[in-house]
Amino acid sequence: MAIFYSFFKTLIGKEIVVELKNDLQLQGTLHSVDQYLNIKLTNVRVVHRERYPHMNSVRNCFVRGSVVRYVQLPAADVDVDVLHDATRVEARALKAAAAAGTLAVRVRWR
Amino acid sequence: STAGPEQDHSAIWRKRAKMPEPARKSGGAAAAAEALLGEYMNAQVCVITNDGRSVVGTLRGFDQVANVVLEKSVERIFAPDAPMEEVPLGLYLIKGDNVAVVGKVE
Repeated sequence: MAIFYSFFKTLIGKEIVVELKNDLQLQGTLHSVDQYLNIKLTNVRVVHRERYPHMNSVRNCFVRGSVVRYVQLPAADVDVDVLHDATRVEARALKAAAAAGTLAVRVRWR
Repeated sequence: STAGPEQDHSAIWRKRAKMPEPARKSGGAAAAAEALLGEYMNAQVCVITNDGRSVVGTLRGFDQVANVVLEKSVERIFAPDAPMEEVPLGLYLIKGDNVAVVGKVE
């Protein structure tokens, strides 16, 4: 069930914009991600920083996964077909596992 | 006890509370927790809470759910039409449920 964890790991080093549930938007380089989809960004810049003076001297930050609303990704860095395939495999495995009464799923991210 | 500045506080608290040593789980869980905010330990950090407040302090502790202990913490209050206000808070524990962002202050 770690499909998006694996997906984000392929984006480490890329520029993303994380939009939080409190409307704060943070642009930065994806440094790391964990199982909860907590995100660590380097070279952080607050989009619309006039409205959010709190983080003027912050260059690296940790964002709790639970407060993320959106993650804006560069289209060129996402292989949609691979993601589509992985999702289809996962969905099939989930259906089979649900039918069999077990939910231990492993998807190999290519 | 007057040990040096780098004493193991968690060991002292456990002894006082008469708690057993935590069983060392597989390195995985401990390593994952450390990767969370380990880099920011003892550094000046700015914590943005879910309700949009910002608190600056020295990061003294954290755990897997991002509960955060800040020493000498200060809340910074910004208003568009007023100068910034600082409210000293002292030693605070911010529950991870309320933590949105932890930023390292340069």
